[in-house]
Amino acid sequence: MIKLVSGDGAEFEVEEEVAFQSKIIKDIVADADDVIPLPTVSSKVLIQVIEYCRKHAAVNSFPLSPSSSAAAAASSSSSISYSKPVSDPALRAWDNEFVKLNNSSLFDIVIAANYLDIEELVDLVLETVADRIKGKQAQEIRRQFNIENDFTPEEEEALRRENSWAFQNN
Amino acid sequence: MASSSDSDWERLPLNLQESILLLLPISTLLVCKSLSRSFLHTIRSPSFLSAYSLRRSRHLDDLIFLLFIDGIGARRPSAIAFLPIRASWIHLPLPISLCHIHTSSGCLVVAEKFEGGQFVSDLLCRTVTPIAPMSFHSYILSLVEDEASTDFKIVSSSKNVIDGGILRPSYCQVYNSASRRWESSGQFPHHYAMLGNAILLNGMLFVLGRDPDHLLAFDLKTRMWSVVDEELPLSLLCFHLLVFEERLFLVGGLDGEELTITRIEIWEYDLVEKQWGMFCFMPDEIFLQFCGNGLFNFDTIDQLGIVLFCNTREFSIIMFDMSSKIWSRAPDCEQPKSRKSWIGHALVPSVQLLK
Repeated sequence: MIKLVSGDGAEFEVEEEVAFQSKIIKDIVADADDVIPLPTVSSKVLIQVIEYCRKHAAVNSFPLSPSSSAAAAASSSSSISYSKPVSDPALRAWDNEFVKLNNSSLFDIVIAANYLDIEELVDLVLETVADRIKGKQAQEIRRQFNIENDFTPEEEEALRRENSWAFQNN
Repeated sequence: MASSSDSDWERLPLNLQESILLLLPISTLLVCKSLSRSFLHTIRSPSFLSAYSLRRSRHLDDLIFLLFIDGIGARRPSAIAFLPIRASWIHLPLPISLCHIHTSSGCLVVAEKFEGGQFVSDLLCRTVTPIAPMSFHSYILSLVEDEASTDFKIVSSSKNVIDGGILRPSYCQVYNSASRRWESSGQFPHHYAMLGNAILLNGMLFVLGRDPDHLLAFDLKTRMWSVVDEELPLSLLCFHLLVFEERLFLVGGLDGEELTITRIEIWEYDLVEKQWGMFCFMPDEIFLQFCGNGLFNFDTIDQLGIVLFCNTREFSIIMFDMSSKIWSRAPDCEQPKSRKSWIGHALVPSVQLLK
């Protein structure tokens, strides 16, 4: 078991395979002790990150789940092929539920996942944020992400006119 | 103005901000450029543009179907375009008064000026490059972009050649943008009454010849034409070749009585087994909506697996998604019929537009 300590002092005991979803923790544990302080991560965020890692560790350690057994059987028998988690439809559905959070929670999670180097979680959140921007109009994106418009009205108008087709909504 | 909050974009480290922007389609990035100075700076930066160019995937969100010209011959014409993902119509101002688009590839089109003369244009970046005139009685088959540079080639075919009262096979010419010259390049294996659209797959240009019905291929390296197959699945009208996921497909209308089209089908050609197989057909209820009072002719445009079927007489448009096999009807275009003239080509914006 590995003990993770959040910025606000809460301690979380997790199994190695869960904690090792983070490449940084894996490296630290290899040459130091099993208590890992994470001063920049709050306990609220750490709980969410551990929840994600626990789910993904469980799926990764049982590659022959019913949904992926056909793919595994089709591949060569000499090599054990771990199906890439995101290709597992059940796990993908779980991921989709996991990211149903507001932007500020998503930002907290992706900042922590980036710091802990949990690549799949970083990718999942970035794709979710990108989906919330895709196809939206400028006012809507500024509102969602609290972006200050520091253009003069003339500058903004010039940028819109350059590619007016992209700004037409209907 | 804006007070600090937990959903601030600025909270994200720069590398994460950039990673998000890399996932967005060009059409959304154009909007993002107008959000703030820092967005504009990031998106225009050479490092972002080169990272964006390296992504191989193209977004369906960026797909633009140019269907009609509004105000042909006008000084400032615009194209009436359809965005399939938003299922909406837009007006696209054109950089030049054009009357016909011969062929397109990615962001480029080869088109005909209203006052005569051909040019190559990135209609969105509004660049216009005239090309040297073709030999008399020729027409343009295809535009092939060079993957590693901004060079391109244009493949043309001569119209029917009559020599001593006998029809001879047409010959082919290739325009090279680097040398700005047309070069003679191979003769067709037979004489064909007409040729269909040309599509590129694995360095070969596939074209359908009619009467005799042959599937033809032009090797862009050796510049030789060959007959790939001498049998078509059925007698199809309004045929159109397309490539999806490196597979070759043929769209066509089934010939009923008195030249009316009774069904629209899509066939796949297996290049290894050298045989045609039925892929799917337009469902009856969709077909009835599409054809209105009898269907004699229709046009097909496709790009990135989205196929548009256009009945230019009724102005009805049906959309088909090759990957999900979902058929849907496009919303009606509000522009009056009288003002629309058909151009029918697809565009995918280039990264250049973000500069």
